[in-house]
Amino acid sequence: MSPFTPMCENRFCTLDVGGIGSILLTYLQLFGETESMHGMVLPNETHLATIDTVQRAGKWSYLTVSQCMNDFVSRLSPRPTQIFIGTGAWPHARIMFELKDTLIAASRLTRHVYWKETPPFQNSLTGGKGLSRPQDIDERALEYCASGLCKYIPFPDILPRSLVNEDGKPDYWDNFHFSSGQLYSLWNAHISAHAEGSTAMNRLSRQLTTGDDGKAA
Amino acid sequence: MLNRINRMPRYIIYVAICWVVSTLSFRLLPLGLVFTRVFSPATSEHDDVSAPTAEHLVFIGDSLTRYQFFALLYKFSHPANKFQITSSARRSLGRGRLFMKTRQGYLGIHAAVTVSDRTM
Repeated sequence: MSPFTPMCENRFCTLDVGGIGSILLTYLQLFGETESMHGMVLPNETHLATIDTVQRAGKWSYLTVSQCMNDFVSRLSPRPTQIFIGTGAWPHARIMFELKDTLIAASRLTRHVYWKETPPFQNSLTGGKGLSRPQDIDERALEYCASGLCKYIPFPDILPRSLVNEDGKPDYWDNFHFSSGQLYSLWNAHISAHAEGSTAMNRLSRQLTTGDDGKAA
Repeated sequence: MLNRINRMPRYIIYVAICWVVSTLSFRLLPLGLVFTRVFSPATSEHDDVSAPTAEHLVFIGDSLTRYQFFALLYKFSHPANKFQITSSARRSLGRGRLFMKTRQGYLGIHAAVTVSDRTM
């Protein structure tokens, strides 16, 4: 497969949130150690990120997250005010090696940098513990967050009854992905509640947690 | 020449003056911008990055993060409905075929969710 496929596209979107105004959202994919950080849209030409099936040539790619942070994320306009990072289930030894550099680069852009704990995998949910199952990279990130480079956001340990099965576990459609869309909404509410760092984020958090998705967040 | 101008109706003279002024100002505008740029104080390498004027949330992560991103978009673009992930939508989202566009970005998630709603 070509390294530059639509799958590798970065996404930009402006949300109009009542009472807050516009919030710009950017998603950049990071699939562990695969060379996944690349796309066809430069930070100053988000108008080219159109909804179509045109295969465009890649315009940027980075081997390391810190490099991407320094050269791409730093040039996004408006400048990022909140940065959320997580690696999920992908192999991450190299990312872990440069994690401190990544967090330092991110914290140069904004003081609101968050590490998102890897959510639990289906096969890791044995025993009667809660749902939080930090990986090795999460533990490393926790250390850096303790030194002030980021804020650590654990996965919610308890979920509302409507989102778990009889065993008290969420439903998955494979070993890693939750099948309930509501769970992702609740996770957003949980994250925004931890990420309150500005008036707009406080309002966003309130909107997310008072909706029907986030009753138990 | 002056006599000829004096004999012209006044409104033609006014129109001609307006035309000359507007043309000149339009032509001189880029020159003004260049002038401002050249004589502005030295700037840093991130000089093209605008000051934070609004919240800009940047998510960096894998497909789980991408689902969160879509759930967030959906929450505010379809507040009356619940965000569903069905097998069809899952395939579209997983393959990342839904491109986002600034301001119209919700169209991408709308497409996915329409598929989702149809298969519910």
